[in-house]
Amino acid sequence: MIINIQVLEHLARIAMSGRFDFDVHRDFKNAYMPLLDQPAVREIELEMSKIDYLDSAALGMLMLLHERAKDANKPVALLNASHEALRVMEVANFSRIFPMRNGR
Amino acid sequence: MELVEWNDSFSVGNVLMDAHHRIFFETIKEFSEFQDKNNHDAIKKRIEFLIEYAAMHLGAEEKLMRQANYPELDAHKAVHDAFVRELQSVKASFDKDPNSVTAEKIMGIMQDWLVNHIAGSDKRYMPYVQKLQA
Repeated sequence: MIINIQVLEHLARIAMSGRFDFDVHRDFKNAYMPLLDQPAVREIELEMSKIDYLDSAALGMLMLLHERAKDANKPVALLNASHEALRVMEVANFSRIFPMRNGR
Repeated sequence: MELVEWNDSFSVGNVLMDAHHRIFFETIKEFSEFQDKNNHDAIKKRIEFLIEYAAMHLGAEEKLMRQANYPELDAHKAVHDAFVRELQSVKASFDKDPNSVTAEKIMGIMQDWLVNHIAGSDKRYMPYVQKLQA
């Protein structure tokens, strides 16, 4: 898993590629935690087009991010999730919890 | 350990709490199927993650109950706090001697608590949360 972070004015974008599973727990957390403390960052987007596998722990990691970002008053949106990623995330109704965006 | 699958009877009528519960069940199942049972470091990391996830979920649930003016919040929170203490105690035993408690037993404690807690306690806040959502 490769995690790349870009901060564009008020928007932080976390781009991930590869397998999003329990093994990246620490790296994923280390990637987003500093963003929650940055006052300039008002929104976080997670670019998911290059994620080719998600497990249940990944859904848990996304929920941890969702709750922590909510506490920091920074909405989190999921971008360009593949059909397979959407299928896994729909097990837990993610489309009713996270804004989902395509084509950016 | 007999794994429990999430089904609609576990629904508490709130999309976010249902998602939290469902992911909890699925992750317990996934970690229970972890093959390398003798890799104590890998098991320890999984236990730590589940405790972190449980703490996040319980905190979110308490916030929701507070917003819904749930009158039994204090008692419910006390049950949550006792569960977190139990998890920390079991984890401390594992850290001290990984052979003293199996990962399966810890997963079993989490799953049993989740099943009993949703059915016995969480369902009681449903009417208050539904009123909040109306």
